[in-house]
Formats: sequence, structure tokens, C-alpha cells
Amino acid sequence: MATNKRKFGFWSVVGIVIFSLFWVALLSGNILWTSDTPPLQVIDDMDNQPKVKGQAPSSFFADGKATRDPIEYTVPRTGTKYNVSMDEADTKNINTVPATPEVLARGKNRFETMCTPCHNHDGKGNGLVVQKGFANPPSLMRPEAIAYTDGKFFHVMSAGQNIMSSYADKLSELDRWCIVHYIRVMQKGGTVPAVSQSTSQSDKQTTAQAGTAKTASAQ
Amino acid sequence: MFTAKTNQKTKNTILAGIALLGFISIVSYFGFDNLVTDVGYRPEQPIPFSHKLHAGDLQIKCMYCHTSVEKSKHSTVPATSTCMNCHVAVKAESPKIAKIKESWETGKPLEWRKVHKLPDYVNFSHARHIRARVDCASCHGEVEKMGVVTQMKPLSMGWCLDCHRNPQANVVPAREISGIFTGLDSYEETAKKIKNDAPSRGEGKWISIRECAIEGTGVYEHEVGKASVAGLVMPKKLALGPENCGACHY
Repeated sequence: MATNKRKFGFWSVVGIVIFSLFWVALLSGNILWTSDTPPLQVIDDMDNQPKVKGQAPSSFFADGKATRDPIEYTVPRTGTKYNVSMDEADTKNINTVPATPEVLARGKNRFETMCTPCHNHDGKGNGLVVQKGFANPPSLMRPEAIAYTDGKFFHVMSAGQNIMSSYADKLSELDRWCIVHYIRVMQKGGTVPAVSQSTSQSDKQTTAQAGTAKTASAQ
Repeated sequence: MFTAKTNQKTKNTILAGIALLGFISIVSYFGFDNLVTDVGYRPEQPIPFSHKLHAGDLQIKCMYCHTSVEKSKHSTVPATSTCMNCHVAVKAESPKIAKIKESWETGKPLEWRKVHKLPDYVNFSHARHIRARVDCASCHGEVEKMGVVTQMKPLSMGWCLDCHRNPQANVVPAREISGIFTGLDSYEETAKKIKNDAPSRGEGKWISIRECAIEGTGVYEHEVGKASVAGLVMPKKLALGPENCGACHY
């Protein structure tokens, strides 16, 4: 009887562990294989609060969108709505952003992110998306493009041109000017941001002067 | 364990009860861990969108679509117009993008299913992490290799703190494919800085809320240098993530 009891005790523990681990393995199916069902939640510790969340649906509004579209005839609190025509672009879009190393680095980063799918890293077109069937944009390095004013580049980015759509929602005004500066550097055959310390220093000084001159003129 | 007087039935009942308790405790301890329940969640999306094709093969950076990630707490799912930037011309007649076209024409948004979900009482800021040059892959895995986005990390609080305590070992530094702005440093320099110079608190060290407040670990570090132009989105200094409760639960 005593040996029997010990046996039962030992095998019951082994049994419990194996049976439990089977269930753990079953639940952890999500590790071994992927699952389409949402994660299991035993106790909802205020994990899902009944509040309006970004980009979530809402039954409160008729169109079911929690994220509201801007009301007509309103402008965003930060920034302005771009409303310049192509003819006015040269005169109305004035580049007041100095070409500091930070601006050029930012311009390079934004160009690589937003523009390279079509315009490619060198700005000459035939990016990877173009190779998939998008219209090939004309080179940014051609003489006509070099002759463009900064304002015109800004206009194309803000309003789009031909098949290219507006990037005003993706790039802030400052970012667009940064890209203009970067395109200028590329057109001159320069590289960014391989700015050595000395040049960046002198750049900073000149841009600082330019900045003060501009603020002075603005006042 | 039992006296001679206890009859067989009672013995069996007690043993069965112990077995049931053991089973429940093992399953609830290991089986309901975030690592078990959350990792591997791979919902089917309304459109068979492949990050592997778009980000992997076509090298479109993460931030081309998820633009708000460096400015907002929320990393937004792109608007239909973002899809249509390319799909007005590329594969415009494909049945796979019929729903995008429909959304584009009717103005009704696509209902993408959320994969990575944090509890609603957690205030996670994407912008703060991106500007600290933490790569998307640190939390989302290498999405550019995924045909269907799958949750790769448990996103539990203990897992968050792993990085906050020891970023060197856990953080994936900003990569080129993400499009994260690393300031004047290149991606390689940034990676080196994060892997070598990032502070480390040492694993497994528990400190109280009071200690946190004294150490100031909840205070964010300053910007790197000064943005030479007002409003420029610059990366921030490498710092340890805060460990105090109020940093995320406020």
C-alpha cells in the first residue's frame, strides 16, 4: 500500500506537469505557429477603455471616423494651407531657411525617404518604383531644373505636378525647404552630410549673418 | 499523508484536487504570459499588403507611409491617398488594390486591423523613441521581411524595461530602411554610439519610485546640440529610458 501511494504521488506530479505543458503549448500556439485571433485576455485590466483613439472607428459620428477631417474653410493651427498657383510660385515662395549642416542633413534624410522611390538617390529618375511601372520623372539634374527657382521646387512638392501628387501632408514646410537645399547641393555635385567641421563652421557663420539680415529686413 | 482511517474516496478526491490546482497554476503562470499569448498575432488585413514587397524589395522607407512617427505619439497608418501616390499608375488594374480604389473614390477609409496593441493605460510615444534613434525593428521586428505583419515582441512592461535598463543589449539602432533622421551622424556612427556609448543601468537592478525621482530618471534629456533653424526635427541625446511609473502611466 505504501509503495503504491508513493508511486501514485510521483506519477501524478509527472502527469500534471505533462498535461499542463500540453495546455501551455496549445496556448502558446502563437509562438509555434501564428494566429489570426486576437491575443487571449483573461482579465481585462482596463486594457480596452471605451474612449476615442487615434484612427479608430467611432459610432458617434455618422461616417464612423474618430479622426475628423478638417472643416471646410479652416486652416491648421500650425502651418498654413498651401494655396499658391504655379505662376505665383517664383515670387510668393521665398526661401528663408538658411542652408545649415543640420538643414542639409535633414534635407538628405527627407529626400532619401520621400523622393528616392521615383527620383532615385541621384535625382536622375528611374527609381525602384519607376521600374515597377510608374512614370519616369525628368531628371532634377537637367539644366532646366537647375534654372528653377527655389520657390518652384517648393511649389511642385507642395501642390504636385503631372502624376506626382502633393507631399504637403507628409512634409512640413520646413522639411520641404530642407529638400530644396539638398537638391541644390546635389545639382552642384556636392555630397551631404560629409561636411567637415571647418566648412560647417563657416556655413554657420554665413547663414547666421543671412538669418539676421532677413529678420532685420522683415522688421 | 493520510491516516489509516481515511477512506479511499476521500484520498482520491484530495489528490485530484491537488492535481487540478497544480494544473491550473502551471497553465496560468506559463500559459498566459504575454510571450505566449501575444507574440505571433498575425491578423488578416483587408488588403494583402506586403511589407516585404514595398519596404524590402522596393526599398520604400518606413517613414514614407508612417509619416507622423517622429512628431506624434501615434504612428499613423497611411491615408488612402498615400497608396494612390504610386498606385494611380503602378498595378492600377490589379484586383488586389480594388479596395484601395474604392476607398479613394468613396472617401470611406480602409479598416486595417491593428496588430501591435498596448493597454490603454500606457502612454507610449513613438516620437520620443524615434528621436532617440531607436529603430522600428526594436519593437516591431524586421517588418521589411514580413509578407504579413506579425507581432514579434511581447510588448509587456517587463520587456519595455529590459530596454530602459540596458539599451545597449536590446535596442536596434536606427537603420537606413526606416528613414529615421539621425542628425549629422551617419547611420553607422549612430549605431556605434548606441552600442558603445549608450548608458546602461545594469540588468536586474530594482529601484523604488522614490529613488527614481531622486535620480531623475524620469526626466528627459536635452536635445543634441541646438537646431540651427527653429522647428527642425532633431534627434535627441542618448539617455536611459525612464523607469518611474509616471513616465508611461499618467
